[in-house]
Amino acid sequence: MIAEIGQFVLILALVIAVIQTAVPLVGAHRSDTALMRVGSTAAIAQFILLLISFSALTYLFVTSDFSVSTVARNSHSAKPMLYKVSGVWGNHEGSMLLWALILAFFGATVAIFSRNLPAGLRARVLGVQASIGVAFLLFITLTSNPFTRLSPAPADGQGLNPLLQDPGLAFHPPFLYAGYVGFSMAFSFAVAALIEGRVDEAWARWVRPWTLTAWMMLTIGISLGSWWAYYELGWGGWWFWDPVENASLMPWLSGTALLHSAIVVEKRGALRTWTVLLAILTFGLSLVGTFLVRSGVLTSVHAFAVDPERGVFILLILCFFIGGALLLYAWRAPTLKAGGIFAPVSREGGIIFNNLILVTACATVFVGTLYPLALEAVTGEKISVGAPFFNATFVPLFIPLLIALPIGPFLAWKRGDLLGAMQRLIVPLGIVIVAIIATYVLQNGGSILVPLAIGLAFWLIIGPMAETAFRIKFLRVPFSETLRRAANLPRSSWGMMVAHLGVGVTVLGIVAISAWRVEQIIVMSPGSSTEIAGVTLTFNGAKQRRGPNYSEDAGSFTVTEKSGRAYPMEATKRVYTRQSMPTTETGIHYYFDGDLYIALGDRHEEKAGAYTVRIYFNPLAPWIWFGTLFMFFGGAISLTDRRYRIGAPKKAKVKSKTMGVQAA
Amino acid sequence: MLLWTVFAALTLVAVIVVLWPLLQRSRVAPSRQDFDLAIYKDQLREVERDLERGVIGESEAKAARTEIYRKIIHLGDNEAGAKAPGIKSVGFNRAVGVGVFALIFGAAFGSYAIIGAPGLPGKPFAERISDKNKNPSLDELVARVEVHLRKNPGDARGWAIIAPSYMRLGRYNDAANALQQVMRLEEKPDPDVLSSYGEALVMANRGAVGEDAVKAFKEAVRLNPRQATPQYYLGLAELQAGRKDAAVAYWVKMLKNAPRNAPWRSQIEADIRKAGGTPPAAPAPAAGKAASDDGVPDIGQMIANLASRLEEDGNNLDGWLMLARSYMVQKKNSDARSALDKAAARFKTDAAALEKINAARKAYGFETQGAASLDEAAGNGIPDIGKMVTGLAARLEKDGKDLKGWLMLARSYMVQKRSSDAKAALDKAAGHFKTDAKALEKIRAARKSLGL
Amino acid sequence: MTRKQRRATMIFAALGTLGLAVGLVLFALNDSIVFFHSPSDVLEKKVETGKRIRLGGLVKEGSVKRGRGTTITFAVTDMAKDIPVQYTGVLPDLFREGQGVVTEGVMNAKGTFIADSVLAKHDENYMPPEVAASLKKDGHWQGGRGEDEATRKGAGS
Repeated sequence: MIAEIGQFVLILALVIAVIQTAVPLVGAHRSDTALMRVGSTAAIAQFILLLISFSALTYLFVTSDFSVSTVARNSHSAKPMLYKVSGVWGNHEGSMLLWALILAFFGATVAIFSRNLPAGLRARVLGVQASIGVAFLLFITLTSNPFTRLSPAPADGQGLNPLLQDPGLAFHPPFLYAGYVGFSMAFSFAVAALIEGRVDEAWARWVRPWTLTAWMMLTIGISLGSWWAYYELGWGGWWFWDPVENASLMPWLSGTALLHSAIVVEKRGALRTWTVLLAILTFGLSLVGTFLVRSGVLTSVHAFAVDPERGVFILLILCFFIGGALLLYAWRAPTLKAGGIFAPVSREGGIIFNNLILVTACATVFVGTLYPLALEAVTGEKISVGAPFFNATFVPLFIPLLIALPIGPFLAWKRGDLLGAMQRLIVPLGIVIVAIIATYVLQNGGSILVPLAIGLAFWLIIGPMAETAFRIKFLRVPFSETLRRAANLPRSSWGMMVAHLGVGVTVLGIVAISAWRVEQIIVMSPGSSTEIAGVTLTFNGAKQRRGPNYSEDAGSFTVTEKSGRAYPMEATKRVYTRQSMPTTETGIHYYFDGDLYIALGDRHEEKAGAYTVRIYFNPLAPWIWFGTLFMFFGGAISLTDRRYRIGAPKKAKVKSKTMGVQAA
Repeated sequence: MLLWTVFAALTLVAVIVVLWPLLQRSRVAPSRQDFDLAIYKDQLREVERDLERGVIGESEAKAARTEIYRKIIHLGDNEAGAKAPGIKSVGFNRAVGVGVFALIFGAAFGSYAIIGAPGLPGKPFAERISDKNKNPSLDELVARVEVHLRKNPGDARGWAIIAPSYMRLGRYNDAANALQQVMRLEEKPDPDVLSSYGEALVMANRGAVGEDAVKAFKEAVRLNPRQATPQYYLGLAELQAGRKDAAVAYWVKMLKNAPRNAPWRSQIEADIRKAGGTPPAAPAPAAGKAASDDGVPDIGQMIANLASRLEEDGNNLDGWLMLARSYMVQKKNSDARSALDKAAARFKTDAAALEKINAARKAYGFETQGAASLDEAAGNGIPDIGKMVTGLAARLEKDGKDLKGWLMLARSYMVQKRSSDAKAALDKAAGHFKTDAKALEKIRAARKSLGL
Repeated sequence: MTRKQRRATMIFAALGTLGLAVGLVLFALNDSIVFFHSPSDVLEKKVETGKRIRLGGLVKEGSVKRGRGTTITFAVTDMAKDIPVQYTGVLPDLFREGQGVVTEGVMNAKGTFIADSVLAKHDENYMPPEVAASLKKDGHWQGGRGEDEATRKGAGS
């Protein structure tokens, strides 16, 4: 019953998406208010229907209804409740349904929260957005139906991939999808603007909140994935330049560029055609990411589906939307009005620099990710492009951007004063030099690159603070005046500071873990101990335990600090019985200045009770993810800026029941 | 009916929501220029704020203001030909409304008719494994025991009962795990459990005898040197390691200890010859009729022998299933499939047999054909605990014409170490099948194998 | 600065960055990509010692010597040729005899492959048979999901 309702409602949502595509676009063409408003009501209806459908699937997972094929293949009655729920999107069909649900959610927010959008633009945005929905709902019903039934039903399911049975990964996909799909809003706005033939300040102001939301979600999604890889895979690394990681990094890079270039369009009316192109490309890269993961052309930790039919379908969707949008762009972009002029050294110039580097860096990731695939397809030769490639291309490109980052906000619009900006940054510069020297002295020689990198991180953290301090005239006027200025500073300025500072925090973590990680791989017998990073680690032996759907060897450790304080730690090796698949559950103790990280390896075959143990001290590791939290909250603060709430013309409030007339 | 009512109601609500704007009178919609103006005004205010905060100087503010004013003046330059928003044609909109209405109902119900399965009831797990479900399938019985064991993981008997079912279902890893639990919970090591454990490991490993399995078999032989199965596998392990002589040695020893009419004697002899050895002079080989269910698996030649025997006399369901399993182990999927197809053709009138064949098909990933009703499944040799055994016994009291049921009951009793009950069950069975020589033969065999 | 000059400056900057990127990419593609070879490839093509390659194949049955310290030796086979591999560290969870493996490192003069990274792969032969079978049944074979894993040393940057 529930499964069938979910199925029916899914189909109903598809039909309504078709209507939401056609009717408002016709309405916008005819300037018919009633037809245009069908876009809004259909968007809300589509969202509610998909919500019902998704809830139905969730219910089926929670009650373990194995008469549904998706549930039988990806769930198990003995699974903890959390993973029954996260199992809904821990598989291909469910995750595509979540994709469609989020897509419809964004459509519904446009319908509900955009009284400040002109009717024509809103109708076209909703129409374009719904056309993406049609494509994906067709994809779901034709190739990946989550409600396919099994009869007779198997008694129990095959269980969720054990690697996915983890709280960090449980919530990684929804955030990631919210990011990917959120960029569809930027795409819909871009295509709608191209159809309308106008991209202007107003357009940029409307498109920014959605882009920002998508970017925030993607930031958290990527961060959760990286954190998961860090503690679950047991190799102590946090980024592997794995193709699927790259697939999410690419839209993040171009989305970050879009976020900034849209500011220029809003404030100055410049960079219009470029911004529209970026919006199309960013969503294109989101689709590329979906294609890479879903088609199985890459084998990776994340690729659920290895199914050529599905891959081809997504490739068709990709070609249709991105090819179509680019054609439209080639046709309409030349008719867009050019914007205001500015000098190369100016806020605009700085943002162009930012865009240039972000997009180029994104291109290098693109090449590094797809080159092996292309080469294998053409010559049959198999190569791997790993960290060395990206360290040699991505990192050198990114460093100038990071150096320039704190300077940009000091430049004025239109014509900036680089010298003046540097003068205002004299204090941070001094702190950075002190930090470099201090680091050099503390690390006792070694490579000069490390202190320089630490200096860069300090520069990134203190620079944005200096900018805010300058704006609120910190220490230059009486404190009460400073407070008043701080209160009056637009939220978007605060948001910018927090987000930019977050970049610095992440860089600091990356530099520290790359430069100063300590690693030990040793065989430990019960009772033996080892010293690492100033603490003594004693192995107390391992014992067997059973969990709800796994059994594990749990190694128990005692850590004794120099001060004499001792605490227990545990690292286990699990075998999920249903799949007979082992996983590593690392033990991590978080200190302020780094992580003590233990992974249990193989049992020693001769020495009784001895295990190979891998121990790391990862300095400042958590800061990598703290930084992304800063970026997220920076975005959130900007999102509350008043600018995004106004812009509705006063006329809209005139109460009149007569037929609409133009009142300019 | 309820389902269709729900569908109709949902569709109706959706249609009304979607078409709501067409049902309403029009409202005034502000033009695009109003929106632009509002934004430019806000930008002007922002310039003032920035000036007041000292973010920009007076001259910059002036330039910015001029730029914004210029934009305001040029507002509407492009809109000369634009149509003012409003309702253009009530007739057209009505036509759209009717079209939308028809499309939603037609397309939604039409598509659902193609991909939906309105007749299939939902099967939440909790409901299926509850005792209310009278005729559980083998899978479901296993699931019940699993639930029981999850609550009482210390129940060694439960683990011992579920292990053979796992083997039967092809869930070898689960079987190995269950037997491991038995060994952990039982203080005294039991050679049978050890041997079964080794066998599960071998099956899970697709026929390869690994280190852990060898360890288990060796321990089993130490505890009971006369036991045949572990010897067989130890020989197989040697063979896989390329030491044919050692393999032959194990098998020869095994044959020497074996009862003269052991059904697997001929197979082992064939194995020994294949490995280049000479089987020990033995009493006349037992009539090589059927591979019995004592789990000696097949390799190469033996499979061929079994296949040709089954071609001649196909009335041996276990033989067919074993043949299919052996093919699967050897990754000859199409052969396995055709074996099951042949078996199904042979047993097309026997629902219980078909159920087993279908279970095998499912386990090997072949589509099932003509799924037998689940009611028949309960009597096909499922080990049971407590209540389930009682239930089976009660059913057999009512309807005793179920030989397999009786045999299974006896086996279950044995697992529960209730040998007198097992004996009684077999006696009753013999009473029911007095006139059936074949059945009596089977009952006798069961007596012997259960040591009664 | 006129509009034309401004445009020229920007195009120049864009071309400069792109040029730099192309240069870096070409340099890196020459220098830091790693070719994938099977044991037969390695023996036939005579891969020079000290050159980083990826060696892939199956872990030869019975060849793994582990559990006696932190250095593990095993052989990678493509059923035609074998190459002995030496690796110090903790093997990935999915590493097993008879299963697919990809190792990265260099050949030494004695013909032993010194690996500093081992990736174990889950392939269809490795799934519990009934899972594999049932997945194949409905054409929803999902062998690629989550069954690829690696240990690397110092790869976290």
